[in-house]
Amino acid sequence: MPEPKITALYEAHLRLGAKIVDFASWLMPVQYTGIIEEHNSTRQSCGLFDIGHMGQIKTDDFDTLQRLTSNDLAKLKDNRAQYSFVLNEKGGILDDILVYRTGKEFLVIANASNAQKVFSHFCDSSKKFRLLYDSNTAVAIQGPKAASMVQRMTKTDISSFRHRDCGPMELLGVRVFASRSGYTGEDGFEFFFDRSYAERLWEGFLSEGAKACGLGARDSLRLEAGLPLYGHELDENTTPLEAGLSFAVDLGKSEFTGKKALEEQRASGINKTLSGFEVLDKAIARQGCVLFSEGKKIGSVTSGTFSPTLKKPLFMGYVEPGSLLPDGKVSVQIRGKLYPAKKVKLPFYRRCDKID
Amino acid sequence: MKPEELKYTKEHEWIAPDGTVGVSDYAQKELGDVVFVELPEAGKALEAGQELCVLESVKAVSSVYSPVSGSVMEVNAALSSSPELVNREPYGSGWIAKLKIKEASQLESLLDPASYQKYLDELHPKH
Repeated sequence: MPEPKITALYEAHLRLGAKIVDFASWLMPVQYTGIIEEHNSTRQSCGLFDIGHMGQIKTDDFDTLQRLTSNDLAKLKDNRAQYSFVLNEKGGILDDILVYRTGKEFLVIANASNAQKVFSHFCDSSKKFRLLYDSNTAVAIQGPKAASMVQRMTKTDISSFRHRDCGPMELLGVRVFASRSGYTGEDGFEFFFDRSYAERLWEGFLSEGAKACGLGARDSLRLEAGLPLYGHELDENTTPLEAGLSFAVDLGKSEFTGKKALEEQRASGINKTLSGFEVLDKAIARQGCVLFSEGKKIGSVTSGTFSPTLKKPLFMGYVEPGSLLPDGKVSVQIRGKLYPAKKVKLPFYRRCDKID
Repeated sequence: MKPEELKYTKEHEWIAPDGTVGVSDYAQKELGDVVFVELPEAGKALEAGQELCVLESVKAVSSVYSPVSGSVMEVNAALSSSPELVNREPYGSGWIAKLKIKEASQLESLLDPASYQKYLDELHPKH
């Protein structure tokens, strides 16, 4: 096991009494006061997240990035973000990433668990990639009150930032790279900046009334929003088509790693498809639980939790295409017992004040 | 229940002299928000160390083991609709079940409050 790493906010988490866990070799807060309370604060008001464990990779090598990612970088406008995939030759997902463009520079945000792998993958093709863990960190501020809070802390008119817009901003006198995006299903911002300012910004948000939220709430929030998590919905044996994320694959663009395999899969059909389900009983299906339809195994659970917003157990999982009955009813095996569940539309939760 | 009058296991269950069983404050904090309790059936016979019930939190699932051998006389039905009682009052309204203790001598082999505290201190030397 590699030595666990800490973000620039580790001491701040300890001061808040966070429960710390090892996540992808990072010592991260899983919760401060309680997952449900933190979750609800984000849905109703404003949650603050340390996302310094995410990999920040910078490059100006358009050609290499274009060849190693699934979405079309040529369609990414200046000061915009694009969801994309780094794939293997089989079309399996090495990582799901966000790519930000500012002029000729690209900032790639990789999952903590994959940052080193993706960085090495890029470096195999080009020397023009830099992984910024030593210099940079990041926080996310999410929820219906996030935008107004950010506005109180900057002179920039944030109404000019639409969803997935990005660009420089001065926040409490600190120069940050801001993006109107997130991983909770709420409106909000993600800020990337020099790690020496981490505490100043973190404390600034807290004193404006943001609630510190750990990885536990981050997971239940993203699950309600139907957002995939690497290692659960996504892995090297799963393609974007199977995960229902073909919007981030542009088969019209020139060659990219995995393109051929995805073209073949699109022609021949997928073997599994991601769906959302609700357990119709008091039990929580977790990753690995098996799904049955009419006594036949049809798939398995990738993520499951109790939804604090909808107040019922939800899960996502892969099933064989066409294996569901018209009513969407399945059985899910939890600790050896079968529980009834039914398919529901993803996302489980959609906010009503969607900005765009 | 008064925490100082209970016996504890290394798996963080407590048991009262009358056979009432619950989980410790440390356990409820470690578990986080409990959202479901899969209660045992009344009458069920258990050996010491066998699974008594299952607690589901948002993040994880966790088993509660019977501290001693016995049979389930009563379960805390309130936990079906209010599982959060386990977090709120782990030594009170968050109790899980009441056992008919088979051999009272088994209680003697469990941790007394001071030994349990010492055990917790060893688990988390920093705290």
